[in-house]
Amino acid sequence: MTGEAKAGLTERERELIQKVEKRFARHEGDQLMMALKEISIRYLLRRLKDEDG
Amino acid sequence: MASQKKRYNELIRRMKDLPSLPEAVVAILDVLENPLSTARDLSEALHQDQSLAARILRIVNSAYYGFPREVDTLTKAVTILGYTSIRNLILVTKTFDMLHRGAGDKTLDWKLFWKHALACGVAAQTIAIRLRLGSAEEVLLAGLLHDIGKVILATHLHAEYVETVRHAREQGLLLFEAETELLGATHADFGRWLADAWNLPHNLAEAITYHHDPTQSKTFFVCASLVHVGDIMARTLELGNGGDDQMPAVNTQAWSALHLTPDLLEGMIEEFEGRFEKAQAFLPEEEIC
Repeated sequence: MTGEAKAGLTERERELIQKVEKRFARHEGDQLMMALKEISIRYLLRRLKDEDG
Repeated sequence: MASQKKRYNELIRRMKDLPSLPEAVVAILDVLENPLSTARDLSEALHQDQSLAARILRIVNSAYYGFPREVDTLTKAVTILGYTSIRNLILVTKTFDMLHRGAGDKTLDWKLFWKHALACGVAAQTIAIRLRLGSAEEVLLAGLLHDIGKVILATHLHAEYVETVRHAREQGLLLFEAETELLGATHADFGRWLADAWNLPHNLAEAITYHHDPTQSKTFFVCASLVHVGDIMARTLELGNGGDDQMPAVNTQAWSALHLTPDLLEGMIEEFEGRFEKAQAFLPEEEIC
């Protein structure tokens, strides 16, 4: 996720991304795991939006 | 290594009070093993365990199977699903009944734990169906049971496991890393021991044993790989929690063997969500999430 995209996020969304980044931190530099991290972020942001209606 | 093995053997010796499968279930499995038995014989044996019979009918009539008409007798259920499916359902249902919630133990959040188990099973199943690999139903059951070693550890080596979970959280470790450090073996090893003690089918036993390293599975590599990736997918989507807050690395050999790509996996999420909802029937009612 680009810095520009991150700038438009709510506090809760930023917290969520931070949490995911922490979970994947041990795999920094691993291309496949970073791709999974991006999937995780997209999915969880969508879920958060759905929960908020 | 030798001291780890010694520690593992010592812990196994202390687990002698592990519950065995009830006689009624053993009798049912005997009927299933007998090539001359009929659907009626099996139905009669199933009636000896009323709660099990009710659970089987609830699952068979759930949205997961989606039969157009109600399956109202066990004889019909056996005829429709076949012996192998019924055998697997009995084993998984009974394992859940005997192990779920770790008999009130609070080492892990069991509701989240079983949600993770179900998510892993459904994810593995979704991949199996999409890629036309293995028996989708058996893969689901293997995923559901992949972490049963954690339940055994929490209930039968309680103090040690509380310490292990705390150690994992404090040090930012995966549970199996903390288990190796403190117990000399992982939940996968203890799960294998239980699977052997309860005579679970070999593919389930292998998936339980090798879900963190499927390349070690000589006979059921595909099933173990599907469960491994199912575990990763469940963690990626944060559905439930198996007891730690870290991501294990994907085994690249398993990933390549399944011909997966991140795009392909992401494209399966919608299908996964539909299946996950329907598969809730596999959990005991109080664990439905």
